[in-house]
Amino acid sequence: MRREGPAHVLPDDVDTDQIIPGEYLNTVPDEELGAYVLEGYDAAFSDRVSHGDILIAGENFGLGSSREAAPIAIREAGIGAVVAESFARIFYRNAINVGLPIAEVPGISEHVSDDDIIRVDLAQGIVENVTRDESFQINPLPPSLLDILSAGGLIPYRRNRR
Amino acid sequence: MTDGTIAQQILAAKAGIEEAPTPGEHLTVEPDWILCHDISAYPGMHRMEQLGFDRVATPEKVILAFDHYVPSPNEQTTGQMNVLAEWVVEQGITHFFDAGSGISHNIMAEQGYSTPGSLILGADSHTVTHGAFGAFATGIGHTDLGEVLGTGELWLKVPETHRVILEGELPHGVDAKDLALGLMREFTTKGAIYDAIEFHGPGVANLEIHQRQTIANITVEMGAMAGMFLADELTEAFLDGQAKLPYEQVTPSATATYSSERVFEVEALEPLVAKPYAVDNIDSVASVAGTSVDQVFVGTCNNSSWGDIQEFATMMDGDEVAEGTDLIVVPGTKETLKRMNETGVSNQLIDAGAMIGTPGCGPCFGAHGGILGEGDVCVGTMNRNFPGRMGPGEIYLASPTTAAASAIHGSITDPREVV
Repeated sequence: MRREGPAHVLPDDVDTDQIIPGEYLNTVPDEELGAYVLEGYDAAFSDRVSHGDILIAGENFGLGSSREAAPIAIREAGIGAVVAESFARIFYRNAINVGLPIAEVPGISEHVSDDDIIRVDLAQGIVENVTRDESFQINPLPPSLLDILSAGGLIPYRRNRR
Repeated sequence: MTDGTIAQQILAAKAGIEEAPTPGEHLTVEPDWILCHDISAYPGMHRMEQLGFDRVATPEKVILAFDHYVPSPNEQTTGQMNVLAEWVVEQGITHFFDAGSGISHNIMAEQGYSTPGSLILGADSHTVTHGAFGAFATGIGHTDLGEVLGTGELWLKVPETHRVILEGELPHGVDAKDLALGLMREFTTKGAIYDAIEFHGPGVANLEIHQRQTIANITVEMGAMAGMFLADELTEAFLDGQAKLPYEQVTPSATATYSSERVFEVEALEPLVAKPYAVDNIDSVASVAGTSVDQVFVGTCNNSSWGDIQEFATMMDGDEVAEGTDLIVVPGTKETLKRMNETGVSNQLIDAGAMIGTPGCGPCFGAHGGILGEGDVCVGTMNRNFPGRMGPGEIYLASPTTAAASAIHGSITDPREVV
């Protein structure tokens, strides 16, 4: 599973209310949530995002509520992967379940600037900053979870196995 | 029971294994209760179908409460609630709490669903609240909800555990919320990611059940998977005659290992706030005293039990809310509201200038019922003050006692200053 694109660098502690504010939770269908991605962090964020872009985040990305709309909004905005120093627990599970590629790389923020080209290879467990020619090990994802992610989430994973 | 921490023992029991599992290990567990609410149940129901299940595997374990959008603010929500109300009948789900019943966590606590040693999986991050009773209770998302509804089981990673020893009693004017915020300062929002926390020590006995709920509830803001108190005489007395399940005390074994151990001096605490825009942005109330307040909000799964409302009302003591400040009080459950009515607290607060809301989550998550405008400052007894959480304004998290002192003065006020 490989993704490559320009980076958007985010700070520590970007919470789920910033990723998708509460007012959209049950009024906006999943496929339209991308239009509001990270609106609570930067109201114009979705205008700056193109298909295949990569999010680089600090520690504790996705803290807060259990809303699955958070990883769905990121996925629907066309973001290829989220690389963070660490993820909040529920966000981590939700991202895998909805098929949003995530990679935990401690210390990554210091090695990436906005618009650097980032390559994420989950199967190999490597994130590369192509612009700076640096590469980093991903904290390994258990094989069972990598399988779910590779299938595109828990729903397609189960469908494939039936 | 096996060896190990409370988390290891409960997860082993619910996975049906004899040996203590290692932290980091994945176990497939069968929860005692599966909790969902009006926001999570609707997508959860669809995920269950998309995962290939027609029927809820264990309808007798499912609890659904309409608590977030009550009364419904728009036609989409009403439509979803109508679908869910039919779905619970179709699926044979009987633990259904309609709009007006209160917040799922408060209902469960009040009615004996939360018991020592039980495993509660809830499609709400504040499910950790039930750790107040010694349950292992943790939040899940919508696909996980669909999975556990369809199969009756789910994989969980066994957490490491931090051990916190509480020493001493809360000083005058300082309440359990200040202790919760003090612990936030200690752990920060990243100090317990994916971990469990156990609360021990002589200070626990001094905490009432609703105060333990406040503390267990905040542990998710430290990143924790669960935050647990050992059941004691107070827990047993609370559950006497109303526990929904037979329960057994779970005590960590002598060989249990912890990733950290810290002693916390409760007596050294002063009234605290979490300033905008992070739950670990802790400072003393004194340091921000005088900040003008547009809205005071008392409620949420962190601070809306009868005990919390009583603390607030006692501090208000017949005073009125300052001009220019709105006061919103949202009791956690219908029972709490009735008690407010029976004791005269409702009238006291209405006379003081309060708006009393329908039992539920109130404006906490920013969808209705008290949204802040640009530049507005709210003192709230909730657990989150993220940017935009309740509209564009600023939220200071504080205790019911500090909230009352601030409502009277129209500015953030140290409750110890109010005689």
